[in-house]
Amino acid sequence: MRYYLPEHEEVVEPLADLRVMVDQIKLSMDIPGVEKKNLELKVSEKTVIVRASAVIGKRNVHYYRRIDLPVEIDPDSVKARLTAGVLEITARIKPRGFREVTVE
Amino acid sequence: MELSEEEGDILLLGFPGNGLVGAISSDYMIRQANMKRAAKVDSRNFPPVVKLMDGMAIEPINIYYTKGIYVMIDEVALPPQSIAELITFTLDWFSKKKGKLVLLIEGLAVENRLEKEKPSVYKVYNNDKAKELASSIEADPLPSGYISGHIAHFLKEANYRGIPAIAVLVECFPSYPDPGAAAAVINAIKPLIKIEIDTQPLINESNAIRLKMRELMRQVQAAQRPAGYIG
Repeated sequence: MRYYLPEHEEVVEPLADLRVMVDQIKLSMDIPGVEKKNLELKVSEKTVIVRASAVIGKRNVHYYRRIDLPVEIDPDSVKARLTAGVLEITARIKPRGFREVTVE
Repeated sequence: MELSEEEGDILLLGFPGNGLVGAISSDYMIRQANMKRAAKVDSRNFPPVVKLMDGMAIEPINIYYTKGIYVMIDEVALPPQSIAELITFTLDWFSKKKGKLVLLIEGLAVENRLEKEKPSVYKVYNNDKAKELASSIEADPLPSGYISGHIAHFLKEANYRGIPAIAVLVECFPSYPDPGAAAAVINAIKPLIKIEIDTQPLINESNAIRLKMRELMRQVQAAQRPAGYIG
């Protein structure tokens, strides 16, 4: 999805790639031109939100992407790294707490 | 298909596959070498998409020409059966023109692409003549394994027609446009195609290309399962 704003301002939805493994998720996002100082990352158990901005040529580009995760993660376990405009996020999947129920 | 009278010995095919490497490298070579549009390719089986150039609607699959080389560029996401049809048709046409070599540029998706400043380039050929011609490509032969999808179709169909064919594969991002990989593959094939192309501007405009090609990448992921290599 793309929203147009006046004066070379543009909001774009970056490409993202989510991989769910046995005990962790790996999420990456393509945000070309972004530096760490212009990146905001928020996470909860079920959601990742990325806001970022970059100047590419004469364009001011604002990135926004909210991803609703198919599993619950531990927000305290989240690690993030930005390399060459690719944001990589890893997080542990919350173990499902099963409780044995006695049938009456 | 409409064609001009120019003759070319080499045909280079660039599809928007993994990392859009084929499409990005073809587009860049066409622009840098100032190639002229020599033909357009269309089929009723292709998706109804046209490319706009200053208000003019043109077919999104075109063949450009310069100095004995044709470059075919596909700027629309095609389903696998349409890519196979396009390869078959183009090889028939090139065979009638008695072309000497056909090249296919494609991305090889790797998980650790971010760790590689210079992605590795590999080559696969379909006969001894192609192997000889491929010796000037700065790439290693792909080790044993299997190739599936349109790359395999390309190599086999070219062989049926007696045309030497080389697939040149470069490591790239699995899910994002990769201009860096496109630059690496252009540098690898330059000694063979003998066209002087400076890839530094491609690196410099890398962010703009990644942004511009985002929608095509989405369409490709939706339309097709990219060709793969299982080592």
